[in-house]
Amino acid sequence: MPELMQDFLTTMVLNVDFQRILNIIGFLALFAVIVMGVILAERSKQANQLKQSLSKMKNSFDQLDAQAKLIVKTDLELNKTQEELDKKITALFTLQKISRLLSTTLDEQEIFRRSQSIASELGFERCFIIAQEGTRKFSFKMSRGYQEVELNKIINLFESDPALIKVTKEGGILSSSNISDPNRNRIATALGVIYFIIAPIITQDGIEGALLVGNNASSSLFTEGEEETIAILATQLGQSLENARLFEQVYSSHHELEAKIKERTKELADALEELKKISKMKSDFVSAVSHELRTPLTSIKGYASILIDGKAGDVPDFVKERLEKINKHSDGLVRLINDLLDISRIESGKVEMKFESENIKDIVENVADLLAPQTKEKQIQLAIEIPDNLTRVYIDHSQVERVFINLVGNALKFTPQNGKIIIRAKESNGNVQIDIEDNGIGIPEDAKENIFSEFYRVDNIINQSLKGTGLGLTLVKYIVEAHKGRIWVESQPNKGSRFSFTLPKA
Amino acid sequence: MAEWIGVGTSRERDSFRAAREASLLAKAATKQQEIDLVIIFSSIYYNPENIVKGVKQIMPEAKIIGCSGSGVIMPRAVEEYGLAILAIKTNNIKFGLGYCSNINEKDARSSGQELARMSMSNFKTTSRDIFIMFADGLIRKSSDLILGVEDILGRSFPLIGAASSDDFKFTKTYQYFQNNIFSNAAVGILIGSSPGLGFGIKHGWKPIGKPRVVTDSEGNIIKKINDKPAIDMYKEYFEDEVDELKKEKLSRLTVLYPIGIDMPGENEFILRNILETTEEGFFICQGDVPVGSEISLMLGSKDFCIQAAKEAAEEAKKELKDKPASLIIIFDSAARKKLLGRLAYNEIDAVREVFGKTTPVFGFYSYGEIAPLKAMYSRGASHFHNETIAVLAIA
Repeated sequence: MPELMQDFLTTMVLNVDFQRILNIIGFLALFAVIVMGVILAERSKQANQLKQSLSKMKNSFDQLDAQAKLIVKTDLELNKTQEELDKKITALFTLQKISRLLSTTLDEQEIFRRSQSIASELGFERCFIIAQEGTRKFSFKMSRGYQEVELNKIINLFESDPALIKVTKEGGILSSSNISDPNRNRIATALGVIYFIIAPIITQDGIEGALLVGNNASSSLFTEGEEETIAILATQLGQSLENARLFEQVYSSHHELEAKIKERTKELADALEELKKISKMKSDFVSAVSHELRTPLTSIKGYASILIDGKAGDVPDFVKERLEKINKHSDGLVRLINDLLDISRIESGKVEMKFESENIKDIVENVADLLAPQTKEKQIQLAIEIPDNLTRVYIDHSQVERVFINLVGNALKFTPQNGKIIIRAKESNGNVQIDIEDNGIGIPEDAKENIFSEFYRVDNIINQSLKGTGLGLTLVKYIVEAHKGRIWVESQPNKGSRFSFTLPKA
Repeated sequence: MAEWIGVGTSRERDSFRAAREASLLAKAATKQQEIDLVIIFSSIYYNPENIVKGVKQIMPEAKIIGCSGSGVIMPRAVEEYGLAILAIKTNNIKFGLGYCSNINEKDARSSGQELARMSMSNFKTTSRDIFIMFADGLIRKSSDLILGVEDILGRSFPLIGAASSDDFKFTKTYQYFQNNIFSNAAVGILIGSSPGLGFGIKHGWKPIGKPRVVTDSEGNIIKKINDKPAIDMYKEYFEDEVDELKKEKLSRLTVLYPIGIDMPGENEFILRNILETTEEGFFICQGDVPVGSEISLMLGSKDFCIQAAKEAAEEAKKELKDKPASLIIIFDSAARKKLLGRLAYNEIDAVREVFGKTTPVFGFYSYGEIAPLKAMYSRGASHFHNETIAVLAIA
């Protein structure tokens, strides 16, 4: 029984437990379902959010990509522009380099030698310069990458091929890209290059030749810009050649001129030397002759005086009259000889000048006194317009006195009755200038330049009647020049003359 | 010092005379009677046979390797028409030369293996440092060629080099190997026991616009991007200008805006130029672009270029640690030269600034650069790059 009870109880208990367990499990399951439901709901919410963010992200990504497209496009544009600029800058750079190279020499051969760098700097395998001087045959001035045999053939081509003749006659640019196919092939084969540019070399005298550059390697080297570059270089070449020639011309004519000047200078120096010699001979001769003449003249004058004075016995009047003529003419001769002697002395520097500070007015007044008889005789008004305070002059008194005597004497001589003579003096350009003005017969225009020459006498009525040596003004000139002064004359026929001269200040 | 290095250059137009001049200068700079190795970088405008003749006349005993470029990098200039020659006399450095020819007719990968094997067998010692190779820039499967070399030398073995070029003519490039002039070939040199090497590689381009995924490609041909013909990507950005890509090989558009492949862990994308487009609007690139690659349109500038050159040099210098560089070899992209124009030398100058102006510098402009990626993920495997500058510094 107790066992049965126990079994029953156990079963009961178990049943009760089982039931509870079932209940608990049911509860737990329900709870799990709820929790899972909540989680699921949450997850789905999250998934939705995620989806939304993802779509947002995708949108921004697309937006970013759109921006990237814009950036890339702009960048490409920039790159293209830069490439263009780069190309131009490189071309300019090279052009400038070669131009400088060509223009820094004035030697024709050197220009041709340097022009070889056109090929190396611009990346051409072959190049040459062909030129024609006048009507002569073409010849090569420079070549690179060619052999002589090839060059000889090319010369003939330049003389026969119409396309090439056009370059050297009309001056167009010929290149493998601006020529029709058959022509291109023919020229390319003959020149031994696939790609080529031929540009004329033009100087002032016309088209002198042509520059060729060529390549076998690549066509991309020849763009339109390159043709321009070669044309510019050919022009530069022409200019450089012209400069070199001009320089050569100037240089040689300069040399010629220099030689001529040297020759002329020597001739002049020789002539001057000769002149000096002659002049000295003349002075010596005059001086010698004068001395020789003076002695017998003194005797003649002496004897004539003795005879006139009757110291050798009475002489009849008519003889006396003639003797007096001898005496008078002898005096004239003595004056002439004295003047000649003075000139030659001054000329040869034999006269010793005694320079002293003097007052010009004193000298002038002195001379006026001396010439007072003549002035009075011709009733000529002699005016001295010299300020008292005029600066003193540094002169040889007696010589300058002779100048005044001569000039005022001349004025008296050539001024008619009741005429007027004015003597003025003033400071001028650091000297003292003296003017002696008269209203006499004047000097004809053609005589002015000879008036100071030795033995020159103006052909006029007075000179025809009044005798003179023709040495007075020469002597005056010499004296003024010995004072480092200057003498000149202004005159109008029948109106008067003005002699001016300068003397140094004291 | 057990190494004597000399660089000689010439701008002479005649091939033989240029080779003689550059050889004489290079040899004179080493101050040695006999030269072990000569590396030639020549403009495409020279006659390669005459170049070799000229070099042989001055340095008959030297082993020769090299290639043609779209321009030559000299210490003080870059020249489209020029020649640069490196002469080395060494007691310590070991090297082995190899080549493979007719790559386009054969399998590119097995050609690469052939090149590496030949270099190995000529090397004869075990301490290998680096493999430098010059492959024809006109071969189609450059990436396979690199894989082939790596099959033999190891995936992580430093492999650096460049693709020979012909100044955008895309007709024929040259590779020099001893007395032979090859085209459609690759030449290489395995170097060991060197006193120290450092290299840096950078381009400076930045991605712009939406990233896209290559959905269909075959080796170096990108067929579809985001399931649309590849050319549609450029059409979106450039509209009608895109015709340029169809008309010209390696046109301005792809030089200015190449495709960038996002590489995990790398600072910079790997660049791909579009060499040609097919009628279907597919892109033919140099170097592979696998399916699934994330790509972007890339945007650059001249300043970025020059900054990248400086950074590549700094990276190479850092790898040398404290050792001073005795030679800098630069493999620079021909496209960069085209982009920079007159400013091309500024890149070289930036490199020289980093190393000091007395260190000899030489190199050439290539159609593609070969260099390892540095991220851990890449495990030092080499890749084919475009529009990139690679600087190799030798202590």
